[in-house]
Amino acid sequence: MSDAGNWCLIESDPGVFTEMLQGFGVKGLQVDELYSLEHHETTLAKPVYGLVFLFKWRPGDEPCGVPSNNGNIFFAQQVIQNACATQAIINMLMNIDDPEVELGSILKEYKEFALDFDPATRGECLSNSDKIRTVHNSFARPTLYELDIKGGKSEDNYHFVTYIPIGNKVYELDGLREAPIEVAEIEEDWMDAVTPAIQKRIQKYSEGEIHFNLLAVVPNRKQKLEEMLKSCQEANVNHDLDDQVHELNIEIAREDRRIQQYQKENARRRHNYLPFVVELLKVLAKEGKLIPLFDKAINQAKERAGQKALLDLKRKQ
Amino acid sequence: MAAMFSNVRPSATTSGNILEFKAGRSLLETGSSENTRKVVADPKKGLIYIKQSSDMLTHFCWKERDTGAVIDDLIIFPDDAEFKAVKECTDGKVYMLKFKSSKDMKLYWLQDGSVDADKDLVKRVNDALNKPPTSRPARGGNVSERSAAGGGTSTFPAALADEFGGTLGGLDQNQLISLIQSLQGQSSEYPAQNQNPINLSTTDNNEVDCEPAATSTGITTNDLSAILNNLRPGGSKGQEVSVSLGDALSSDTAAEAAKTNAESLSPHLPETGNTPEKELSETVKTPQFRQATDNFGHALQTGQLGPVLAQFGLNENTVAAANQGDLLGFARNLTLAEGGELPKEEEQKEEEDTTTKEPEAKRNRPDLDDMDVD
Repeated sequence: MSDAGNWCLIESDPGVFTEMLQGFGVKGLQVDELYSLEHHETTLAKPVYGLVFLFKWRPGDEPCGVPSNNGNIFFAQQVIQNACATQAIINMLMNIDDPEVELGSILKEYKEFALDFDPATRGECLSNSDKIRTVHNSFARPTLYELDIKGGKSEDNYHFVTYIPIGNKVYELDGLREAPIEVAEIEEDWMDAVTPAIQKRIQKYSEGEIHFNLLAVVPNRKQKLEEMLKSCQEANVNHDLDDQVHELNIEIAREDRRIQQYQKENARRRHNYLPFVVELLKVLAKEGKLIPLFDKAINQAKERAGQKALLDLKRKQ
Repeated sequence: MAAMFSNVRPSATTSGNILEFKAGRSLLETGSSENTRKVVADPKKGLIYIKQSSDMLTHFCWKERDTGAVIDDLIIFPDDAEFKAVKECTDGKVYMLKFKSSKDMKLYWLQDGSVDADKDLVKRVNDALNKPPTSRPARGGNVSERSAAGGGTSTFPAALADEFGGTLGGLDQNQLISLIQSLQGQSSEYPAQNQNPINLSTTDNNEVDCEPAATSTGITTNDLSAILNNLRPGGSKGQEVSVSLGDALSSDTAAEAAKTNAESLSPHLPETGNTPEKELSETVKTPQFRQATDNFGHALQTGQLGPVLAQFGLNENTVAAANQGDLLGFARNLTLAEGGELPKEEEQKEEEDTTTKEPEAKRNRPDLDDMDVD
């Protein structure tokens, strides 16, 4: 009963995914947004364990590689709607083999249970995992109404896929496909190898003004900094490492602020703003400002619609 | 059944939170003697909310505010459970959700610090549990079935009130008819056969027991829903464009108004660790707030928000405008209700508005069928 089987939509945001990892009990990882593939060397911590790529899904898109039957890849197909964010990140986590990364009991349990199944059954198991779903759904945006946004501009289908290096190849794990897709051979850095494949995709999409978003799963920076601080402090018997200790403390504080910012944003994401909005409308009404504001909003909307119509007309000519 | 808040994303968890308030769980422990038990408050921060899922069932839920995890999710059938204060508990505001069908109960303690938090709380919760806003039965062919369930005694207005739930509930037959006429821009008296295809006989698929009145008025519920369907979209014609309220409510004007009315707004802020003052000025500029207001605006102009707003105690006219998706009408009525000043040109506008309220031809928008009047 209740919400069983219901998975909410997830926003592609580093704060959401980082907290989701925490929710699963994963240790040693965080999620960063990647703004440019060219500069990943300078902006991302190493190693990059994998990428989560969000794009607008269109039926009939050709895979940009060949299906692989590499049995060493853990791949689960997506069998339910809206779970693709969790699906993508879990598909990636299942394939990370690093003593620095701890999956936590929820995911370990799932992996052990689902390892021997085929991709579809693995997806089935994932969608039936109450614990995983609870974490996923803790990011549900609360709404007081179920919106019917058919025909609205925001009703696009977005989809998440994962890129990971396994052995000397880069694979794309797309829950909507039958199998992992082999997209590139790794020569040195797998990020360099995957870049052309992703860029090709981005290019294809940006022609049609389609949004995309790229998230990278990297080592947990704060954890690393704290480890460094600890060894620094231990070695700092003669106070000759004072500068480094100071520096590290500043870095850690910076991380704390970022985490705090994530938490704020997530609190707002989960917050039901409806009572606030109603109250705000009331005070605006009381101050006689509501009608002018609505008037303005309506006129703006009309203007935009008019401009768009004009633009469409011009295009046709 | 596709209902008022029909959802094109069938697997989304979002549903109608009819009511919510901050509360923690209380647990029962063994007391000092065999027949007594002790109520112990669980310090975790929580939220009770009552919502209606897309299958129209009413859920009473408790979730942890820190993690967002939903711990209790109880389906409540009307008159199945009662929410009441535990008066014996003097060191906190403790409430009990008691099931009538079994001996089960759940205990919660109020975590909302504000003075008014528990005002009418028992009534509001019980209303939300027992009279959910969209507990309407299936449309059309099921009319007879439903009336039978109601003891077969429904008279026409009652059946209608049933049919239209919060939207038209409480109106009597004459009021309904004049409402229809005014919506259609008619000044003439009833009956209205000339201009309107109101069916004067009960239709076949509608073997209704609203006879006493139905024979005398000739309006069937199907007719009425068809009429209201036609009227529903977009309010006045100027609003066919999709209006975003995000700009309006994230504006400096709004931020300023929020600041000067911090007292009434602060209780509704998200818990971010900020001071209320800081959160108040920050929150209205966040993308999360903007998203919420844009959704709100969309729901408002598609007429989906009326019944929800009724739960917030907005007056009839304001809710009626919301039901029609009439943004300006909503703004005007809310301004009147709150005693705000109307802009000078408003009076003139009002006249214009009435002329644009003629029914529009039913557009090919199947989503609207499922919206308010089924």
